[in-house]
Amino acid sequence: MKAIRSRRSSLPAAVLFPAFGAALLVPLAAAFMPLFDGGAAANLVRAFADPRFFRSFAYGLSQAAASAVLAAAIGLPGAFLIARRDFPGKRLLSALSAVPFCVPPLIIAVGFVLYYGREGFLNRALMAAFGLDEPPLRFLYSFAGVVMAHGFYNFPVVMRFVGDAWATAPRRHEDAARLLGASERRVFMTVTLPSILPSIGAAMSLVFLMCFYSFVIVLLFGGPGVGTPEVELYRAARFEFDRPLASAFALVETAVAMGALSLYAAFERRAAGDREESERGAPTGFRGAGEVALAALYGTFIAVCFIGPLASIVAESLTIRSAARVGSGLGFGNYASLFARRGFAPALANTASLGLLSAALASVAGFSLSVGLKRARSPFLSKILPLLPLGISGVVLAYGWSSALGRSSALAVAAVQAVSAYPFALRAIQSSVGLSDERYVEAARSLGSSRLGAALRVRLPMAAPSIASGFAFAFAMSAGDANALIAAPVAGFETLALLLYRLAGSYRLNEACAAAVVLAIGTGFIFFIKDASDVRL
Amino acid sequence: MSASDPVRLEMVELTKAWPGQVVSVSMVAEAGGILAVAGPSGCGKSTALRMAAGLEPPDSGRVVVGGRDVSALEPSLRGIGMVFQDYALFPHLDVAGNIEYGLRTRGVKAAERRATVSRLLDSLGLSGFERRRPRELSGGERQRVALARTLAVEPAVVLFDEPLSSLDAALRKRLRSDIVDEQRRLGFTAVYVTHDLEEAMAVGDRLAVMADGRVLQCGPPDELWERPASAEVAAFIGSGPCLPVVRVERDDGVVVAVTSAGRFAAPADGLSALETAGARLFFDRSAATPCAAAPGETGVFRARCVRLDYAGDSLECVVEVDGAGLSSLRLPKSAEARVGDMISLRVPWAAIRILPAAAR
Repeated sequence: MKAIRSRRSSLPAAVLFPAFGAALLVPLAAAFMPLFDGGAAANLVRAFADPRFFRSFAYGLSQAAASAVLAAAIGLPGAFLIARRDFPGKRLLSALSAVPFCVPPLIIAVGFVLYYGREGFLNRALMAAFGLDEPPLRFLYSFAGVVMAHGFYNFPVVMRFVGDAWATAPRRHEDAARLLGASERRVFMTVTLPSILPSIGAAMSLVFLMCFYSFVIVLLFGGPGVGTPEVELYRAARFEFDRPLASAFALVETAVAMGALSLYAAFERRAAGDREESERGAPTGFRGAGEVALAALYGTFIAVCFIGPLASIVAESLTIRSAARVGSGLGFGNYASLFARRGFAPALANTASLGLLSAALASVAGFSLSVGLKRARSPFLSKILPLLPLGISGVVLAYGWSSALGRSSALAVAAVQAVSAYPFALRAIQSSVGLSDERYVEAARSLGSSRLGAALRVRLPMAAPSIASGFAFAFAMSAGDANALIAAPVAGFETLALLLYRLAGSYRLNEACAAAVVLAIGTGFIFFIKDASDVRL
Repeated sequence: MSASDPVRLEMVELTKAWPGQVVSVSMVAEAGGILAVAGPSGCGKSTALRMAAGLEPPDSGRVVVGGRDVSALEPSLRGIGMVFQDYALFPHLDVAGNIEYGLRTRGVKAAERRATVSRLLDSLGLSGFERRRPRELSGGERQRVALARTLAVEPAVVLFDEPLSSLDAALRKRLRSDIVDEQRRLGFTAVYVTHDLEEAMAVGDRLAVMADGRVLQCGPPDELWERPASAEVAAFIGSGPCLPVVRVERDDGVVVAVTSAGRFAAPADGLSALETAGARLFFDRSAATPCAAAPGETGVFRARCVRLDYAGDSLECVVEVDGAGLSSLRLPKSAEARVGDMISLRVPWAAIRILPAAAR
């Protein structure tokens, strides 16, 4: 009896783990395989001897670290405001948390060009205001530009992660410190900060990871010099046909990312431990005019520096420029010409089908694995495996699939996007009570339900809203992703994100903005139907 | 430590208002004693404590510690320490780090800090625990560390804010007697807030019962049990039934309080309460004894027995009284009652009190 039960209950795991492993390991192995052409050691030595290799990792690591620091610097005041203060506009600030997940990086990049570029809104406004002849801001196509774009794009991650921890940091501990004579500064340094430190670490290591693997923003702003390992891998594979070098990049960058990932996992564990003591206190109003002034300053900064680029996309999409760029007017002409493009309708259809397919794969895998992993005793299976895809780049996977198959394929792209979106879908799905609380399933089992029956009739309906969130996440990430298709183009297969990339690359910015707005509506609308502040990672 | 010279804590009309809720309290914790504050969740008892400690600024009122008005002082300068719900030990500091936290903020030298920590750990039976983390401690050890942390800065008064609320019943009982033992030994003045009435009566020399942001009655626990000031207090304490008085009659110069279930001669000290609307007739739950008296006899009421539980030395009998709903009585084991029966119960005149509906 016991043997039968254990065999039956391990059946889903027996099917799913190899499937999941195949989606991850086949392309990964294929990506690393060319390293063995002519000896792995020789190829690695050659790669390490190439100055570009070292410079690229130095660049990738330093921009990711600087971006994580900038995201933390911008995100921490927001985290404090969201956790501890009540003010008009708080919901809007909270809603920005969804941006890094539902607005593709490509759109952010276009927004930055429009806003911070030489002829961007900000430069034009500054030139008009101060009577300047030259645009004062010229940092965009440089290290600083990449870091700015990454920092601003990802600050909501820090704001959300740390804000959640800050809101639930036990107030009793702070009161205890106050009664024991600690000043407010000391209370913060010795009690509050230690309790939110793991969340700051987790958020920063996640941002580091996402920036280390950033592709489009570096491709656009990084300039012609050395790019991040991700970009160099792409160049080596696509333009130089140096597959062993590309594989060396893939191998070393995956190893680096695994380091960052284990750091993230360690911080997350600490943060989860602290959450056991959590106590949610009601946020209060501002204390004094000084706080109001600082909060207003922060709000203005976010509006000018972060919302500005996003708003300028909408403005630009509605601006009709004449051919000579002398005059301009407002209207929907850019949308009309975008819709009239021959490739637009297929791109829209491809985006929808690719997004739905990979979101379905990601959320089915997310649900099944989160049920399967509940019974896993090994910490590697239950804790590390779900996070593993975070440490593997979409570009490496896409490159791997095209190596393995000998050609590019839209299905492989869907598999890549599903694997990349899966950790985010999983996180959303795992937050469901039906999955976290075993009592419901035990109740169903005690009433005679089989394990599978309990999963389908109890867990699934209870987890449905979370699965919907996970699906929305995965859809937004896949539909907005251009990386996989840029890295492994499929002939005749275009998506909105790719169209947007090509339009931006050929400086048809008005049409690109119209495409960006269409894409953002497509990827973001689900989050606006749901309460945006519910979006959790 | 604070043992040498215990002081009195007075909360004088400490008031704080929110939309739809007002907390306004006056209480006194006598020097070297424990004032227990009990009341249902959300009645404002923790707020009162936080106002006394200076963690919640009151709209008005004063806090007086040992005759000194500390209302305008920072929390840490009031001479008030606090043991929090679940103890609030800093999880990232070890036991010694927790205990010396307040000494560090006061700039006490390392050697002196170490000496204080080891003296406190010694006196609380925790020697050798310096380097342990809070998560490695048992419930009782945590409580003693929390107490040591509070006592390290030598407060004149220690406030306990539901320290045991998340523990199981058996541990709660043991730890509350530990608190009383330590308080007796060290002699500090304490205020102990809890929603558990039994705990409050066991811990407090004096007991304050709160509801809806007000103190309903404050006095020794036996006084509150036997002589509740109002039907509201009696209902919270549950020490006996409260039968609504439907009218007052005079019979040969004796004032008779008439309830739906029976007639009772009113005691002299209850006459003024009888004149208030909603007056209740109260007696201790063990004062009523079954009898064979005829219905209508003064001092006797009729009730239906709906439940009878064996309680060791007595029978716990839930009765349904006409006009008063369900009440719990303690009957002698010899009582002949059966579930479903209408029974007559006699209450001695001396046990009867007339209570106003609410405290005046």
